[in-house]
Amino acid sequence: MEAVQSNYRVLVVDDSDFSRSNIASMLEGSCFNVIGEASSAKEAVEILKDRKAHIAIIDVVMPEVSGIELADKLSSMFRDIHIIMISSLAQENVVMDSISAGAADFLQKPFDKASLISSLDKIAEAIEEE
Amino acid sequence: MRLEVITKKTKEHYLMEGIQKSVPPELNIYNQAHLEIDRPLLKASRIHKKTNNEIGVTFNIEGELKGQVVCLVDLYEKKLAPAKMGHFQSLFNESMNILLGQLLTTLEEETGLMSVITSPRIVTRSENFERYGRDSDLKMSLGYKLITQLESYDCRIYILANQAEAGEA
Repeated sequence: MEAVQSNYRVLVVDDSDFSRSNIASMLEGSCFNVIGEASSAKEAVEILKDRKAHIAIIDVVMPEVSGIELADKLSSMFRDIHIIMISSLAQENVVMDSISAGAADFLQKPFDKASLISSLDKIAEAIEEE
Repeated sequence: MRLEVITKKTKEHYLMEGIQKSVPPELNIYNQAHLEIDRPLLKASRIHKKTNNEIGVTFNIEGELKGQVVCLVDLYEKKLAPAKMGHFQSLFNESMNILLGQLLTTLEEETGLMSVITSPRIVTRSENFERYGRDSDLKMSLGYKLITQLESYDCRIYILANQAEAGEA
């Protein structure tokens, strides 16, 4: 219950402008504040050097550095960050690689607002328990 | 020799059947657009030249199936303000990404073939696709309608691929 009252800082990482702005719109008015949007892994790391995020929502397929590589990197760089991986691909290998890289959850695109919020709520609860 | 030909044909047929079963008939793109199948998956001999009214995006397929996908959308007589063009291209790219991701996910369930797509690459104005699919055993095309709140757009999609040899994927 307390989780819903707090504000959680969210970074959205996706090379698709449409996907990033769509996720940001879904989170408008919720307790999950989008503190930044990154179109690449490099940009995501730069943002996180300046701004702290509780949660990173990361697309699996991105140019140069993949979302899975980024998740792996962020998990070791920022121990308290929680990761949700998103992708239109949802084969077992992709999901397992995401989890192995440190993701707490995986959502297949296209997902609805309820699924996204539900996934974030679970992480918020975990953060409150930490 | 004859046996080799039959085996190749059977493999092609099996793969085409798997892809046919994996094509989503419709998709809701975040309540902002809909994709509806307009023309079923058919064998294609070549990619018809891109018109000046079309914009497009390509993806590479990697894994046990290797190749390219070319996606084109026709903007002929569509009222699309230049300022909205970037948003529309992004919506189209993401719609195609979702369509292909879902197709490859179902394809793995149907055939056991594990393949992924790469990031989209926007098709340049002068691109003609002459070299595309030259070495591909599988050349297929299908059509979708991309329906937004304002318009309906015709999309043509070409899948050009080969099944990777054992140990190649």
